[in-house]
Amino acid sequence: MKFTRLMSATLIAGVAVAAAAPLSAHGIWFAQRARQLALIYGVGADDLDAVKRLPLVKTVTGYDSDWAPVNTSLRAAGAIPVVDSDEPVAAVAAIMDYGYWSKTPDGEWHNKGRDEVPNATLAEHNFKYAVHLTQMPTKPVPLLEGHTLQLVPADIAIPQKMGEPMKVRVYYKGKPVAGATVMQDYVNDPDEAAPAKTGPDGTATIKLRNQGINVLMAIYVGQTTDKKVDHEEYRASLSFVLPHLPE
Amino acid sequence: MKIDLFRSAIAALALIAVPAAVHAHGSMKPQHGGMVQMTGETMFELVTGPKGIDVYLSEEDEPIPAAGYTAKLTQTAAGKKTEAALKAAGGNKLSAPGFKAAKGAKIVVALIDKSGAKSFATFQTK
Repeated sequence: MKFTRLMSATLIAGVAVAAAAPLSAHGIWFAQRARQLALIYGVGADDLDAVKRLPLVKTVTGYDSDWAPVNTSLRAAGAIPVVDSDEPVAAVAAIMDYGYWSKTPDGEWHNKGRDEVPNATLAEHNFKYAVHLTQMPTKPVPLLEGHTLQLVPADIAIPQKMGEPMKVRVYYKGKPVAGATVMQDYVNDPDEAAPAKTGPDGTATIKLRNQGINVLMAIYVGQTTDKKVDHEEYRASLSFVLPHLPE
Repeated sequence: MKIDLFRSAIAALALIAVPAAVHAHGSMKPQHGGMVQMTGETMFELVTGPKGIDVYLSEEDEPIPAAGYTAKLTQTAAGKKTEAALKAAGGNKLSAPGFKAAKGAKIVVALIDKSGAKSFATFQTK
């Protein structure tokens, strides 16, 4: 009896591991942790080890309300990387190059390109981007240097109530792109059944799900001439907070 | 009788609820005649005067010891930035003696606790 239960538990654990989100499913975004703005790496409620991934963060940039640069960096504060800046920032952004990943027929992912994993069923280069607005913008969100994929509000004003629609636009290599996926709540609905797709003008309309932090995520697979992979996958978050009622 | 009991219960709940709403993070009333800003749970009160600038810190109406922080202020006036260190000056007071606040300036107070966590409060002088 005990043996059967042990076997069942082992099998369930095995299935759980196998069903875990693929590496490419993870994204980066910013969120408040203990009064600080932290860089989060994960998907859904999985807030994974972002400190050990700090070497993969290629840039972190901060901006004031006029989108003028503010000297900004990331600092490992115990288990989380937090934003450090000389002045208050109205927006902060980051780029992570997650490198080459190849999947073998046994379902395992390897941090290598196809050149090193010739039997890979899939090989991709993953890039992750994040833009966080710490206050409501008064000017259009500009295209930021190095953000190959970027998700921006289509209008300057962001609706302030949960449930309201919000129009967004996705840019790929500086141009509006059709066919990008836009998830409306990457933290609380990571398996969104029917996420929005951008139209020919790069726009999509999502519904604001939270009277709190909203983490929107654009996903796009781009072609590449890099022979080590089949394609490049980009995930770009846009996060902001809708305020709650005064206490 | 039952109705009275019900009314008393409602009144008691109201008494509990109202202070909780008002004092969730403390009063926003200046205690030293300055300007106040709340960042997270920390109340900053900036007092400008001929002898310099003082900043008072409190959380939920309780003064917090300024000695636990390093701090600086940055003033932006007419496109020009000037900075000064804010030194603990007893109790919950930080001071930048001799620093003159300009009219119509933006003053940012940067406060760093012993863990390295930084918070800001931004003031606009009149």
